[in-house]
Amino acid sequence: MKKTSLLPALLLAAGLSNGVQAQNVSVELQLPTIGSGQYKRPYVAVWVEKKGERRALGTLAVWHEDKKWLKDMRRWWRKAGRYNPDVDGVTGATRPPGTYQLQWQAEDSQGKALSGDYLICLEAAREHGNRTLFKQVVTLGSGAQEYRIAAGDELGPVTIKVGE
Amino acid sequence: MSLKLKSVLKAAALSAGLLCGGWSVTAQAHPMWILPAEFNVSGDESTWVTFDASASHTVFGYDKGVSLSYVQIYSPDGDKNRLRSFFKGARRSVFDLLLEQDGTYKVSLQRPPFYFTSYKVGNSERPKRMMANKIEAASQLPKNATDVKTLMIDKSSVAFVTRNAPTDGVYKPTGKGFELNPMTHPNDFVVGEEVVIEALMDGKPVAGVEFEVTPGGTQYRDERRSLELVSDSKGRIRFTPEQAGPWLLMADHEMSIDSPMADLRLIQRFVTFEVIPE
Repeated sequence: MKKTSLLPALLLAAGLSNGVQAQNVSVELQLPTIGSGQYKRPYVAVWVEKKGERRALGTLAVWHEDKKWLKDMRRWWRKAGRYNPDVDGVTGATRPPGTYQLQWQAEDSQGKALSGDYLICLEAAREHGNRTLFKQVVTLGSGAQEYRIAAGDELGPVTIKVGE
Repeated sequence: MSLKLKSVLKAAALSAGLLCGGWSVTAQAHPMWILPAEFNVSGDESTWVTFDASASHTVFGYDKGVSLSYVQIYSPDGDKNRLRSFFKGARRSVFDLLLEQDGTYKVSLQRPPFYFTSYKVGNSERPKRMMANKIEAASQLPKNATDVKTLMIDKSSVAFVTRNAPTDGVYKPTGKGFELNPMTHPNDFVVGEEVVIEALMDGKPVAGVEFEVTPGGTQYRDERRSLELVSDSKGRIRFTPEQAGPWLLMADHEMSIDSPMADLRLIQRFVTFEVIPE
């Protein structure tokens, strides 16, 4: 996007949101160290669903190598990936064990702040390993919130913070 | 159980079916199925999917290899494809399919119609059977045969596989003949989510179609775990699978036909699908 067009776009977004600023949602996740002789980095997807809707609202991150195995992130594939496996700006190579931060502005495609209950989903699938799916209901439009998910096989503990 | 006892029980089940005028799914000949190794695949490149086909009472146990001459493959753009490499063994048949397009493929195996005549002789309650249509049977039946009934059996199997995003072109009802319309996409059955399937005859809903829906792996458990369902006034069945894995759906529908060859037409449909873990 050219610099000159950025300002009107921002003003437009602010106008549509009726002055209600979209909340920032941060997702902190960990990929655990796994001491296995056949260790390969997991495929990971993080996305948002509106409860009861068939298709995901959007994808926050997809870390993968060969698209042939995208389907192994079964829920993400079904809800989002198969409709658009080249999610601009959020796809990347698989990551080593460590802690990662993702940020999401909780607004719809028109820039309007979201409110109500949404699902933040995290899924990790590892070749010769396990598949772990986390789903956390988060409430938007009701001030700051914090959610914690206990560690699973392929994902360490997760902290989700909804900003003011 | 001895073999003899088993066959007596089978015959008893068959006669019970005949006596109440219906043919229960379980009393019929071997269910015939096609099982893809994967139902949903991803990627930008053409992908091979391998299929097994067999006829068996255990769900996805191999029993009798089936002829693959009647396999038809419909690609997402509606084109028919020919089978490439295949193998027919004694217990199962195998073929591979290259998915070159994005979307949902339909793979079906339609047996040509075959005929089956049952009758009784003397005071025996147990019906005798012959593989013959009404015309052929007329010259072969004993003179004192009673309760003569000829069935035309119309039997087919189907499975769907999807590469990338699903499409519905291959299974949209045509409004002709007997059709099962999956109102839930057949590659989108998920544990804990309701599945709806509609039975249609010439585009109109058919009530009273008998279904048996069973999760695979019956040879490794004691209970069969079949769901027995009958289509409602809108021609629909609904169920919520609780077990992930491949499943087999069997649908049975009997109707009278106006034909010199048979009195009744028995429609049997076998649909293989996967239930995806949540």
